[in-house]
Amino acid sequence: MNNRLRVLRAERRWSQADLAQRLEVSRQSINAIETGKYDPSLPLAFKLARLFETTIEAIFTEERHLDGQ
Amino acid sequence: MLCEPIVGDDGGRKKRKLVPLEVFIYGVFLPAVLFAHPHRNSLGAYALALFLSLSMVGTMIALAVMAARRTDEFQRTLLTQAMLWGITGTLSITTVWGLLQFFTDVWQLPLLSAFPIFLAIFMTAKTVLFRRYRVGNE
Repeated sequence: MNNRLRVLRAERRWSQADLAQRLEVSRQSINAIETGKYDPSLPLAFKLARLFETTIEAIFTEERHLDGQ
Repeated sequence: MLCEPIVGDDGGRKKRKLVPLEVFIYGVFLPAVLFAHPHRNSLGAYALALFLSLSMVGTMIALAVMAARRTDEFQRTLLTQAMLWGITGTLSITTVWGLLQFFTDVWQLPLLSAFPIFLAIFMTAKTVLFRRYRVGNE
């Protein structure tokens, strides 16, 4: 999954550590989500959406394959 | 209760608490094996076997509880993956060796070796996985 986490974080001038602290997760988790290596669980996705005052769909988008599916 | 290194928030720091596993293996387990061998079937040997097995079972339970209680979901996922590698590796090695024992004259692998094999593979997988996702400076 693609995400705009880094952009949203940068808009608020938060470091990964700041965001991790606000979400009560490790910085390792934030880094893994931002780099697309890990997709968060639904509760964590809702927490992110609430924190950034937006929707989950505005933060995460599905990866599109070359054939458009 | 035995423990293993805990990876810190940045994925790089390690802290040890309580009694390290190495102290148990070299300070308790090996001497116990040496003591028990010439005194088989004695009450002491049975007591020692029970004590050691309860300690090892306790360690397995502690590992499982530690993984389940990890509040960070990503680290919990990594620990679960490491445990799966441990289980897969242990089953593979014991299956292969078991078949070798069945068809050939290779020496018998003691049942007791299952736990150390699992621990070795689990610790290796855990180290590799946490290193892979270690976070550098921002």
